Amino acid sequence: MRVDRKIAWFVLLGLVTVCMCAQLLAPANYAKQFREAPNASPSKHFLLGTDDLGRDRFSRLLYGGRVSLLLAPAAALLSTCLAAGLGTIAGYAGGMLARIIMGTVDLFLSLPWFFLLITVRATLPLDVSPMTSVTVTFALLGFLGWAASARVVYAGVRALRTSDFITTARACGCLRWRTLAVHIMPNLKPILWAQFLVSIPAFILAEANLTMLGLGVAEPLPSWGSLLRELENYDNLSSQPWRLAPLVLLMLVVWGFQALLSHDEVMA
Amino acid sequence: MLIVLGGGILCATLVRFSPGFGIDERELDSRLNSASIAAIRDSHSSNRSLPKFYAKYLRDMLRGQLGMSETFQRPISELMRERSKVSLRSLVLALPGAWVLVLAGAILITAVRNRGLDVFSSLLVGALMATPAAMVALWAAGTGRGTGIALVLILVPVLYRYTRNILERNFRRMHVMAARARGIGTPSLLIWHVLPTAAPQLIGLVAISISMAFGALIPVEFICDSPGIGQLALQAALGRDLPLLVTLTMVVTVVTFLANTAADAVNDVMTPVSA
Repeated sequence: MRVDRKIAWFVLLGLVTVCMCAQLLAPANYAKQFREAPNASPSKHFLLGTDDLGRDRFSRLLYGGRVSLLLAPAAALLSTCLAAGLGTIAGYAGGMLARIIMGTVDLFLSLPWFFLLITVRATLPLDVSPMTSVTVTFALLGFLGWAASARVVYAGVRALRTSDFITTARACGCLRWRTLAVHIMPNLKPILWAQFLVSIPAFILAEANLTMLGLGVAEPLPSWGSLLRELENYDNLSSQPWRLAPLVLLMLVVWGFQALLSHDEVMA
Repeated sequence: MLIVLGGGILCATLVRFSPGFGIDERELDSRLNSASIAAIRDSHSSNRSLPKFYAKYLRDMLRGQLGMSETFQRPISELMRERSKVSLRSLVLALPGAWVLVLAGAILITAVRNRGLDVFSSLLVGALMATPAAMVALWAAGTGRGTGIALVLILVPVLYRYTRNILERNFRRMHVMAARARGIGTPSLLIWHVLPTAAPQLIGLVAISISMAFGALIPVEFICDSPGIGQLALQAALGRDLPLLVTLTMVVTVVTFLANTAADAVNDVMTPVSA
């Protein structure tokens, strides 16, 4: 394994572990307001200071990380499953079904993803509970992010379908569903794994963008996107560099997922 | 054509069935009597039936009328003309700027093959790719840089990564290796052997970059308060402005489609017909 991949695994596992243990490690609840200490600088009590409502930034960073690191892979899994299902059906069945599915893929790909995302998100209720907003946001990412992956899976299945070992399997009387389950799907694993890994950082960034535009996770539930909204007050950043912590962590995580992809997968 | 129409109907369906569609804030005005409220509701009734709305929309569009924006209470054609000028100005600066930087960087890194330079460029590109577009826009707005600079910073890392991979793949081709073994220098290798074979993929990427730039316009123009198409799209989405959203969807789909078709046509012209 390459050194950068080892480092990426180490960083990601460390961050995931820390964020998942937010309840144990965070000094306070993410919504608790220390009204006597708004905008406090880092101290023994508040490791990253407090925001303008007196909420502990470090606690919010951990809870926000938990939201992003738990739900982005879940959304990526959803989109990869959709892509795997639809791409495989289109690639294996061919004919009219393939044309319909690939036409839908083209339709999704003809619109810039972010444009589609904000259109759909804005048409859903915005004044909902924080838990609903977070679920809606990540579910949307999963449901709308499958098209590009489906095209890759489709190409992979088409290539496999015409390969010699599949022809031999069919000639030996292997049933269509068995060929699909036993011979084609296992060979799609590397493609699906790569698509899953590509989707996670894309979804983390999309959530951050959506939330910064006011269409993502609702307050007081923190996510990395909502923590980045604090940086809107750009003037004080040089005197308060600790406010950049969510950005640094987000960049680290996105880099980590990108580094996990092997060189060949990036080239593909 | 089917994709453009499909995009329009997809968008119209989403907006029509969204919660809060057709609600007019004026209905909450206690000074209005029931007849006035009924009149306001009647004014939205043409949009309630989706097939009727879409058929009427397409009929009007063929006559060159795009209807009225419900959010801005202005003709959509006027809004589009006004806003597209602002966005075009940003795109005209950003797209060629981004491509010059990308090509210069990718060609330099691929041709020089210096490990230190490679690591440095990868780190820089990785850092930019890991920064949310809205954050880049925030930086541009905070430091008084224009939307064009923000767009360049958003586009460059993604385009650079693809371009570098394309060039690297072409550098490893057998005929390039053979040419190198025969002592042909790197500049000649690039001009006569690598770039011509990489051109079709790069042209395809240019088409994709137009669609990417449209996507990036939304956070950039909204945060930088630049009154362009991106800001209009977000305002239309937030206001559930059905006619404006459908028009924007169609415009974006047509631009993407035209860019891809143009790329395909250029590639067809450039690719020699095999005997």
